[in-house]
Amino acid sequence: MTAIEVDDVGKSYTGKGGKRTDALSGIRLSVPSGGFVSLLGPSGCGKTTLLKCLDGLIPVTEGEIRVGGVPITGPGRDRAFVFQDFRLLPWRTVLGNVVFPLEGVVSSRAEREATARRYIEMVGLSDFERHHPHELSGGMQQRVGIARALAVDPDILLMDEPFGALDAQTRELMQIELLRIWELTGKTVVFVTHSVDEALFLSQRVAVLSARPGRIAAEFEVPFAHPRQEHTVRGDSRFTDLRHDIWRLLKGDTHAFSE
Amino acid sequence: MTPSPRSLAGVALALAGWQLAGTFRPDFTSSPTLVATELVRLAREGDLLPLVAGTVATLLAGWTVAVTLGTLTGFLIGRYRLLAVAFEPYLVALYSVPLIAMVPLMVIWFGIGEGFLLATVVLATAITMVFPAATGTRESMRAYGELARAYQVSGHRLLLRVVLPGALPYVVAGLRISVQRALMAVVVGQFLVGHPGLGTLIGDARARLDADEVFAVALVALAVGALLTTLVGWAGRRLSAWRPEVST
Repeated sequence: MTAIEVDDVGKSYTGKGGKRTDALSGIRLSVPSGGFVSLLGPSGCGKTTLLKCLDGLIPVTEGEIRVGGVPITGPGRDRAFVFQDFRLLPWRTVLGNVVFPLEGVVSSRAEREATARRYIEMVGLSDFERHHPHELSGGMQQRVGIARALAVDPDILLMDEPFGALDAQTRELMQIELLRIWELTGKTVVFVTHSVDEALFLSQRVAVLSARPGRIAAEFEVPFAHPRQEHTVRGDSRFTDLRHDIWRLLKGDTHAFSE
Repeated sequence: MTPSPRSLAGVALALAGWQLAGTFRPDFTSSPTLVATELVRLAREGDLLPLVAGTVATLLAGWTVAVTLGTLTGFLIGRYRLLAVAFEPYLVALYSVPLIAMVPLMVIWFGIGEGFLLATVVLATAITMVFPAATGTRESMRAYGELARAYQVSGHRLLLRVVLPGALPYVVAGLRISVQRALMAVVVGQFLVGHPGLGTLIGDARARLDADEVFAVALVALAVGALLTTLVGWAGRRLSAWRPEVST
């Protein structure tokens, strides 16, 4: 079943003096239910814009995005967004942040907190639920961001370079954690990244975007079965080949862009 | 915070210097011992304590109204662009008008009693809350508006659980500035229209060229100001303990 259909979507901005800038053009993409798809591309290619369009945070100017067959008009409870800069409320504790999207939706406080605690435990932060964000490391803060997204029990997780602000080691640990959570919950994930390795290690399919206006330049199926083991995947020759192909595509594109 | 030996030594040195200066021209510079004697006299004979209490009561009443009005106005112009465009220029202009220029109009409108003092405090103080509250509201929306939208938090929930807590550090910074300005307004107001209070004590002492009393009352005003600022600062830190203070 298809979770998300992106049907010939374009996004343009009219700047000062009526100058039109195309951020996205002719995007077609289909994300299967329960699938893990990465959007990969150079900075400024519009991959974050596309992700925000999928959430309904940014309206598209052309085409249509359908979630579960229904055109979207704005953010909805079937989707949850994970921000690159975590976007936690600094005056709230870990528990308070995870409970935040449930307030006004789940009326019983006990029930809200029980749900939040379940996901806080899933991301391994049970001992920190009374801590404030500034007391946590970057990796822990993003765990809170992921728990908050999971708490609304969405069908789809939209993740905008969620590990981009983390150091290399934390980043790898978080990737393994994310795969574990994905396998456990069966959510559909759309994952934006500019790291080829990250995209290949995590996803079943990688959509490579070209530079502005962003288009889908190519899609690559990643043949490794889940659950994945880090060392077996990264050491595999097919991984190296895919990595090489994508790099060539990206380099060629950057080259074409600079001309 | 305990004062360091060095700062205590500094205070002692300053007091000693003052005392020394006082031995040459006590009528001019007064001296610590003369001021201390004067303070005791004022407290015993004069109505120093009731006057201080009355001044602080007026200040707190006016300040409370001012903070409520100012913060609300700031929130509205921070939240709604149209209101900002319409009113911000006037508010900026009002901010830069010296207090003394408003006094004649206040007298015409409110007479020279308690009403005048309250109005002066409100007018002088509310404006100091407007811009911190507006900035805080804008910053809060900039930082958390998209998050709120992504998780469909809107209406009163957006206001009470996102915008206001996010603006709080700015509001707290405004509170400290505004309480100092409120004290200034009430003292100057009393001084100008002769309403009994700290301001009139200074005015009387000045009329009699009594340096001891001027210093004594100024010290009392200083102590009141320091106490209020400390209390507000402490309350502010309690309110926004989750985050380092911001300055505006």
